[in-house]
Amino acid sequence: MDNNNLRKPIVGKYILDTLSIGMYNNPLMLVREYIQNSVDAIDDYNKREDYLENPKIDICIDGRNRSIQVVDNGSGLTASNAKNALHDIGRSLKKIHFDRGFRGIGRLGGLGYCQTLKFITKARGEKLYSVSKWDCMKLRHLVKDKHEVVNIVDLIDEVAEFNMLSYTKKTEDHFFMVEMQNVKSPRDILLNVPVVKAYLSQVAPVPFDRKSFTYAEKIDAELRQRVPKYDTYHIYLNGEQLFKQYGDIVPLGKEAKDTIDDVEFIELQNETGSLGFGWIAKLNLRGSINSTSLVDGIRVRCGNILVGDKNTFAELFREKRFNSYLVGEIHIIDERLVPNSRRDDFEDNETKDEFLDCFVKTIGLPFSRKIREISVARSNGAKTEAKNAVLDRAKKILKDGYVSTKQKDRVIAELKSILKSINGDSDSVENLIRELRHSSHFLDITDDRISSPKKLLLKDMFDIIYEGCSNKKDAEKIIKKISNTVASS
Amino acid sequence: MNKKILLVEPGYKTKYPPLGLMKISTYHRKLKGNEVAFVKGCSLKVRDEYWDRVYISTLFTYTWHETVKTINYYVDTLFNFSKKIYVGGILATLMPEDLFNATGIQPVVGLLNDSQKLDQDDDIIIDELPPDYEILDQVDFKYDHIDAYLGYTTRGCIRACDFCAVNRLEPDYVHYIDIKKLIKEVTDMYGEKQNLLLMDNNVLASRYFDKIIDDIKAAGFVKGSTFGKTKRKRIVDFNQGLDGRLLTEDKMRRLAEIPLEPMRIAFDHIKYRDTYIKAVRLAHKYGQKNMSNYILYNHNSDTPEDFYKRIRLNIDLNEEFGKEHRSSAGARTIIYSFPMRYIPLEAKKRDVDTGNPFWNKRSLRGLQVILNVIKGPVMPGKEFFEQAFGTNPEEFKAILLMPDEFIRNRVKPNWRKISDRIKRLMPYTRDWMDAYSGLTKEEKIELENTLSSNKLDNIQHAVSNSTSAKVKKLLKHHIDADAIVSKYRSG
Repeated sequence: MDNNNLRKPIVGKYILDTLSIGMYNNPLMLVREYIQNSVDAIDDYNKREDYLENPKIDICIDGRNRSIQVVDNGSGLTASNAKNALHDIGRSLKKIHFDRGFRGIGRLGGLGYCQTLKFITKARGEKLYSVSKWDCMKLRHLVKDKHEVVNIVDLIDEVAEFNMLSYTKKTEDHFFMVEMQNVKSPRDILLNVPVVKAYLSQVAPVPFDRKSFTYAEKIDAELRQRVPKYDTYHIYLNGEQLFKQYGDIVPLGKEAKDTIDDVEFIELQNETGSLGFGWIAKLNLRGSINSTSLVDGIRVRCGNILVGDKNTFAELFREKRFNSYLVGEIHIIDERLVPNSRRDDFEDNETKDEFLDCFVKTIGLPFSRKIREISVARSNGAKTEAKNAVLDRAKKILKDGYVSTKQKDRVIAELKSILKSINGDSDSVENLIRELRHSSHFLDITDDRISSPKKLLLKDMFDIIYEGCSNKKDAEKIIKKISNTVASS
Repeated sequence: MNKKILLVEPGYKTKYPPLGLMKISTYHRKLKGNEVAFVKGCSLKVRDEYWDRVYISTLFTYTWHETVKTINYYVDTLFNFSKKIYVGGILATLMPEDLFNATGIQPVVGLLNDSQKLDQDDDIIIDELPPDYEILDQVDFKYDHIDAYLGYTTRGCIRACDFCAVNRLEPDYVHYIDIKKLIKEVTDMYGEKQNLLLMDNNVLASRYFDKIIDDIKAAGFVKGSTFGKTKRKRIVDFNQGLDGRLLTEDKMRRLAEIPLEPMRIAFDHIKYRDTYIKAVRLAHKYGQKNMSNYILYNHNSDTPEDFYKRIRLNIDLNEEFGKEHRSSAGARTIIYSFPMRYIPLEAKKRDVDTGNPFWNKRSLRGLQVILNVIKGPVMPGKEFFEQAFGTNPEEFKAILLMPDEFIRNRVKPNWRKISDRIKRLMPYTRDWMDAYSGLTKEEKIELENTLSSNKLDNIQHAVSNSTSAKVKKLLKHHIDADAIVSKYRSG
């Protein structure tokens, strides 16, 4: 066959669909992608230009106009670079080991969730700024229609327009802005400020909150020293700065709380070196941490941006739920650990396997063991407590009398089951049972004001009450009340 | 970095200690300085520990279920890092693909004679290392033969019998392995052992047979040699048996120089009758006192009659040897029969159809019950033998067809005091034997066919359909067996 006769392969239009809407399973992820780009732009500026005085990322969610803006004052794109940088796909100027994003597809995430997507950018010292505008409605129409353009290059030409405009403010200005207009997302999640805030405070590279978390400074300093790609950024959502939600108090279940006494630093290393470094809070490990705290689980971060979610590494514990007993972070050090394009895990390679194995060895198994030991100790404690409660009830009956023969029988039965569970000295319990058998009804001990026939009647009645009530404590209260009333009448 | 190694033998019952794991233990513990733990079955206590590697041994294919369960338990224990798990041994070698499909682990096939098989970073041949006896203390399970040197003087077999896996496990026949070296290494590392247990598959085929006997003697195993302060008798056991076809006068003379106890001659089929008798007589001639001979049954064209004839032959030989003048040593030659049921090489359970038309589920079960009662090898005495197996092949067949409970409780509790063989029998047993002998040829076939599946459903169905009253009566015994036996027991 003559290969020269074959035409060049076509990259079909559906690829754009796959790279935008198809890429992420949660629309919030696209906000993360834009923040990731902004963070890289700020780092880039700091590397090349003077140190940026007030680097920041501003996110504005406008519910009334259904728009979202993400603006950073990073290096921006020069007018000569902008078109290619913004209209090429899967080709990034960034470098895999320095920048958080590098695939050149992240910015496309917005295409699926708005009507118009704009990228506006300017580099320092230029009098021009660039605007790349994408018509997302048209895009969807063209992708759906079988007869329209088939080629991705033609498709981009059809839906995206690029303009360079003259900038009238200061030439020193530099920025990159993403603007999504007429945002549409399931349950309007992208416009839900508290949800976006909760998400970003867990995912984005924001600082610890020094006001509520005593160990913020200690951890931050240690991470800066040990993790090359660790840094924090000022990120604002509708004017409010975002922080990680770690605090000294950790809520357990509905009402219980635990306090972080200290933090332990942990290094994940294998024979070749350090894979990751992080911290784990010292807690009592008594139960799952309430997930509304946004701090439960060991979270793995790369460039201080979350990889996966809080449960991504839960299966590396003996039981998945043990992950939620813990609070902590592991920051990736080894450059061979690369987040995949969805950032829901790492790319599969040998280093990932080594990392997971190291996680099991250093965190998963030791903490699973610890949690189990604590739980066993607690259940032994609870058994002792329950046993003591029965003994107390028995002694009370000996002193004050029983309210019903059924009550007496019940306590005797409970004592007998205690007898079965104790090894060794059982004499005291056996004595108690013997004494209980000969104990008296409380009416016979305390009250002489009630006549004997009445007592017989009352005793029968009390038996019925005691038997009929499922809550025996209530039954005892009712019985006492009745006897008091009868006695005083 | 100090590595943690876990060795696992699946939880099935076994007599012999896991030699492969013991050698791997020597490699890791003694040569690599690693921490080694050994457990039997699915151990809960090792689950919360971190392991760098897990080795799991496998044995007979009919332990399939238990083996797969164990492997999958450890795959889960290692959070699915299955590349850290090494599975090897007999089952793994015979059925690697099945095992891969059931566990996701590609097992190590064959002997540990290549350092690549276990991804070693050295070129140590683990198969040649002495086994680590000390790890056996870590489990509650009690193995036999732990006071023996366990080893080989040859490897493989020159034959290719289709009932035997050796040809696939050890395809190349190795004529000589220096057992003195192993004995010295074990002694140095783990202390001196009383006995020598050799797992050669066909030592008589070796070109260096004489040298092997010399080695064994040089290592301290000469006839009459003793061990320790209490002067216990030392013994040598070629545990896998000897090939009667290759036993020459010269070789027997040499074997008689070592304390062989017992001698095991294979008697795999009735067609080897003459060869077998010749070998046994030769052994007897050279003063071999104790023989425990392997009687393979259920293979190919074997029949219950042929099986009966073979063990009967051993009884007759015992009688014959018993009548001779005692040798100066005093004891007479005694032959035990060691029945071995044929199970196909890749059978995943014991109870499979081998295609042998002469043995069926009922007769195999019947023999199993007899063997369970006598607990192991068949005793040499004629009296006991006839009690257990009947006086002729026909009686033997009648016994095999009995309900299990009848077989177990054939004779009266005080039978030893009753000299008449017939009067020893419980009434129901006598009844069965009489009724069976009264059947016509056709009726016997009908009875056997009905019982062959050993299923109560089939029997119940046949009771209502059979045209023979005698057959019906015998079948009913099967249905009522438990009640009949317990009635007599309490009465």
